[in-house]
Amino acid sequence: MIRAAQTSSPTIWRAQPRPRAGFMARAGRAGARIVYLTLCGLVLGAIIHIVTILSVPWLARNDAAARFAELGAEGKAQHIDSIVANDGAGPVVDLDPATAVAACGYDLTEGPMRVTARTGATPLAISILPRGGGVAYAITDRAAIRGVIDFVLLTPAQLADRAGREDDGEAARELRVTLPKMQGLIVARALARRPADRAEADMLVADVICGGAD
Amino acid sequence: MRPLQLAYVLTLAAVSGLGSAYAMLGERIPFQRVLAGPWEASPRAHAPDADAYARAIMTQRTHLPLGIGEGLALTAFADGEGRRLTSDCDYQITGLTPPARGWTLTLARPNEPLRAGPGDRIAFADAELTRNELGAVNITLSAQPTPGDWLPLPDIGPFRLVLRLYDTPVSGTARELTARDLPDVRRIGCR
Repeated sequence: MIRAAQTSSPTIWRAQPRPRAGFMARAGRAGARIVYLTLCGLVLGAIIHIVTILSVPWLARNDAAARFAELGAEGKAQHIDSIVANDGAGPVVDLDPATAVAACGYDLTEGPMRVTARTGATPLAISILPRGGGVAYAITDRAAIRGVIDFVLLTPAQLADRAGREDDGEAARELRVTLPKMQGLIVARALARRPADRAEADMLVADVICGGAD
Repeated sequence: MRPLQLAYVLTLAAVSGLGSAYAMLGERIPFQRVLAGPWEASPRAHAPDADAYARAIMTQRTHLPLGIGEGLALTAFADGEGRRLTSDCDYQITGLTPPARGWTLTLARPNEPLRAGPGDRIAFADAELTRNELGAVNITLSAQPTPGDWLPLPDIGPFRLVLRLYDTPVSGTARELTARDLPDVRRIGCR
């Protein structure tokens, strides 16, 4: 592209003596040159646009999965409020002020994770946000059995391993969720429909247990 | 290529490429929107097969989206007649809401949440509202106190309303929502 541009370079950009072309012909060549350079710029701009959009999920450091990854290291979900208030990375864009939210980072390279939550009177839901965006799985307290939501997060390879270790003829009594990414976030959310429900919502989400599956 | 020409091409590329990328990364998901009256939702924005723009928007800032099955968030940027919502005007929100275990209606700035001081009301949850004999709500948004369910409107200029339905059967069939299923946002006067 660059060589072609040089060989066809018109007179206007050069200070060499040349046979004088007509004014119209020179103006026409200069115009064509500007159009050509503008097209080059826009094509390159389109490439930069695509690369920028595609790289945001991998360069982002403020997405929920990265920002709250440290929470839950003790095996219990922790409220996100202290991180949001103190790390200076801005508010959670779509946080509902009527909900209590606690989170727990997960890393399946250390083995499958088990999530256990006790349900209460306020609506409770748990969702899984893998690194790179999206919601991989969401479950509400309607799926609780005897007041407990309980499931295991694993990779497809860990699922095969776990299924292989079961005794023949004995069905597994656990809900297993396979995930596409090794790292991500477990988010517990409880809705306080009245201000008086707030304390219970706060307690429910902080009571979610997230630890090793075995 | 001469330095001047090269500089022109590179500047144009950087400005057009980065500028258009920045313009696409607002709070509004550009594609696959569900529209119903003044309300819009992007239930596919956080699905595993979401497009690149939705992914970029959801990860460049901190989002905690509602999963399908967990709930559905609908946003209104304009009133029922398509005029931008602004705190210079008063609004009335009337009508029925889809079935849900609970829902909230929240005021927000166009690109970020509204910070509420202690005692400031910026949201209603369904259990706090009165309804008429048909089950419809009637909420007034105004800077001046009004009788009934009043959501005080701070002086913030353009704003958006977010209706979050929790544990609702419509989250899986959001595409079939119409304006009749959702409350109407009506402008009742401006200052």
